[in-house]
Amino acid sequence: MTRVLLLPRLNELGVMKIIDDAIGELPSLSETLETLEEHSSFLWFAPSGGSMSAETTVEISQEIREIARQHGFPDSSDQKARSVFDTQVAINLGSQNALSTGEALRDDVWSFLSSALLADVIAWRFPDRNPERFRGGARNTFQRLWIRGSTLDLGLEAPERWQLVEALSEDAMVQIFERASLAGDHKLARAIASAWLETSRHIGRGRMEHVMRTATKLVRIRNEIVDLGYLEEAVLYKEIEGIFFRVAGIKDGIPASRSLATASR
Amino acid sequence: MNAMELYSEPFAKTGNITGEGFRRLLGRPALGLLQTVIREAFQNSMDATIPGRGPRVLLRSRILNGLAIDTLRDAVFSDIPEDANGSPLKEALLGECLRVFEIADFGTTGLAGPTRADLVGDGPEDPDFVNFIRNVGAARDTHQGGGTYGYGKTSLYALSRHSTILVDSQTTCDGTAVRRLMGCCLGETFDAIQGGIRKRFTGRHWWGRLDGTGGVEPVEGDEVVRLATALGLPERDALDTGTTIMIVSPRLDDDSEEEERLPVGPHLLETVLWNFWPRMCRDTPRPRKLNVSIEVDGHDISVPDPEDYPPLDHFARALSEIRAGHGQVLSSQRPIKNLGRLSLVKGLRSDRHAASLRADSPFPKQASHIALMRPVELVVKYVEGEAFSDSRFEWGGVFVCSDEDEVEAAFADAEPPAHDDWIPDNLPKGPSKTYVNVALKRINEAARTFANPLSASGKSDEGGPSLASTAALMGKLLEPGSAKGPGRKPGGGGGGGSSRKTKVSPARFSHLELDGGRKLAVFVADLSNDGRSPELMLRAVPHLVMDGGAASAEDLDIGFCGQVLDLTVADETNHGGSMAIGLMAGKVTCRVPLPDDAAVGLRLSLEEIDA
Repeated sequence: MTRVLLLPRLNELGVMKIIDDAIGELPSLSETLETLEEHSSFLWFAPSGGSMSAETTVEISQEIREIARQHGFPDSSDQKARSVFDTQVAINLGSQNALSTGEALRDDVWSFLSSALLADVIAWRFPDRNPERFRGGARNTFQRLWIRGSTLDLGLEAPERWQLVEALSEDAMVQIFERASLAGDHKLARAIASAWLETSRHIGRGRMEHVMRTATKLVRIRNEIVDLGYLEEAVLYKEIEGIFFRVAGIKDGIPASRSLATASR
Repeated sequence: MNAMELYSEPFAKTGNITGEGFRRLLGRPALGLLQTVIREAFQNSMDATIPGRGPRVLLRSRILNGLAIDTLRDAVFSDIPEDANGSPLKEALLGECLRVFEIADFGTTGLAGPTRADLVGDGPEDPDFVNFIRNVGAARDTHQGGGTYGYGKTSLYALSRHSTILVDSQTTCDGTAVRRLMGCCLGETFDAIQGGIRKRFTGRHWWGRLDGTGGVEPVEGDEVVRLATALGLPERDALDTGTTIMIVSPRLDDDSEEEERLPVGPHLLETVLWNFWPRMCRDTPRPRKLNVSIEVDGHDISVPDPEDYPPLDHFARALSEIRAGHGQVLSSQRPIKNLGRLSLVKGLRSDRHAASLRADSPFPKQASHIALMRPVELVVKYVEGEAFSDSRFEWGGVFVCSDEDEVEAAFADAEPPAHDDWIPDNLPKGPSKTYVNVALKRINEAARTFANPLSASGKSDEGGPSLASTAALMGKLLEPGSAKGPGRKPGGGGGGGSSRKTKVSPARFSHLELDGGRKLAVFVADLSNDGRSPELMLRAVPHLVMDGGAASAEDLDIGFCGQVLDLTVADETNHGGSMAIGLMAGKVTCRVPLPDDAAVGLRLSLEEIDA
């Protein structure tokens, strides 16, 4: 890495000013920029450690806006288009070099990108306009997609680098990424995602929601006695896949007629 | 049948290497004698492999009796040398039974070539026979072979209490199939009268057929078949080439200095696996694959794949990585050279095979070793590193030096005669010495830091206790004000009187127990009782542990019933999870059945007995 790009950050007051003041009507981009000019204290950069680059954030926002346009923004929106939008944004953010420096770990960087530059896109993606989607944090519209993208990235050399991001259902994503004990370890998260994919090939995506819930629970219980993060990648994958197959009732790659997850106890 | 004849080697005018000297050549290897013998014998077998076929080796320890010992006494060693070794050998042969240890290989070329050291063979064979039986210190001739000296054969003699071995080889000479049998002994120098003249003898003896010109030749042809059958040696026909070496009265049981007699079977098994696993893995290429069988007193001992014999599973995985072209490349800077590949693999520590539970098993309880080898894939030695502090995990690694001739030769030359080390000081100053030095340095470094990368960055102190309480004390020296360090507020105090109460402390995990195959977790806690509310119930509710907190077992079929087995307060035990405490106080013990694959926690509470 040659240069760390410091991205603009929007503090909590700024988010409130832009979003909370305008529950009815979101401010347009130019209105937002005026607000920021007026209250320069809302906007700041890390004081050292790289070079300031507001352009980077603006470029990223333009790319996201373009993806949104391809999927019906601002006029039409259906479940399927929104889900494809999520996938593509996750891939886009996951492959942004500028976000791999640690800047993206800061909530206020996401607050700026979301509230200041992409508030209208968020309002399209989440019509209920929950403030959590604007503010930086685990449920921020783009931050959560970036975490998915960067965690499930299989690497430049992988034949299907974004296979996991593309394949996993929203429910599966939430199951992984709303559990710090799973999402906090990238290797473990990838192992779970790939076990999900493998299992869904055997029993179909329809049954996966229940299997995923039970299997991730078993993984977390197992993690108490075996530090899964310690395991070699191949061993870990086998271990996790074993848990999924057991829950889904797959023996030697063949689904059994009755699985653990649905068996009455 | 005619008995085999004894030939004792007299000193030539130019001097010979004596039997003692021959034996001394072996030096004092770091390995046990049996281990050296097996390593040498296997290396010889592998170097003699017929290209494209993996050799099969049989290790057999058995007792000769009846016809077999009669044949050995009357037809093989009928003539006993007059030196110091002679009489114990004679005595042993007169007994009713005699232990022998045999190393037989199949699918190898056998001891081929001419039988006399002074003849040059016309055939295509290597002069293995003379090199093995007669010469010592021949330079290696197999390209990147395992053995480079041929000294190892002296260990075979050393293993025999009488320094005596019998060699049976089905082989070829000038392209024709031939079977040869010869007895050999490495005694000490002695003087004796021969033909009316007092002569000095080297101590080397052979049994075979005198050739009438002052030499001895092996017994050949049908006579060998008859003798071998009578001795119970493995059968061979003309196409089944290979060599059987029978070691008379082996020192199998006093390899170590311990008084205790070692069980030979597990000892052999582990020696073979520990030294030759790279040739026995499931993904070892077929032409290299070594097939080993072990037989002790008529019982076969099964030889598992290294993948099924922890901790070799990790080593086997590391070697597969290297075979697949992965692993870290170690290289030297000046001159710039690729020295070889290193692969380290970590994983769960699996339960050991029963044989590894012996006190002197070579296998470590928790592996943290790197196996060093040349591309020939025979383990030279293991470098021990730092183990994981968590004993449930272990790691193993493999280093294979580069197969570039210059580099490979450097490592081969650094090996002492027993091939059990790489000693850079054995090499002259120059690039080869640098290669070995640099590689060893990197390997040692990797071994030291793999488990705990921090210890590489300076000599940091071992993780001591938390400094928080010291810091809090020091904080009190500062200006008055908040002198409270991290931690809980000290109890209310000062109230007096009301501090005594009926309460139960949080449950602490104590230990695990086995109860008829069922695993139990035992928790302890303390119950204090002021006697004011004797109607209280103590209730114990177990739960699964997930992400450090409690989890419900709903929907999970992992054998967790959510029940307590029994609850003990002071001396009273109740089945189930609740108990009226009355006026009891003291230690609370609670046993909870434990499911596989899960941790269990326990919540203790005091409740009013329901009205």
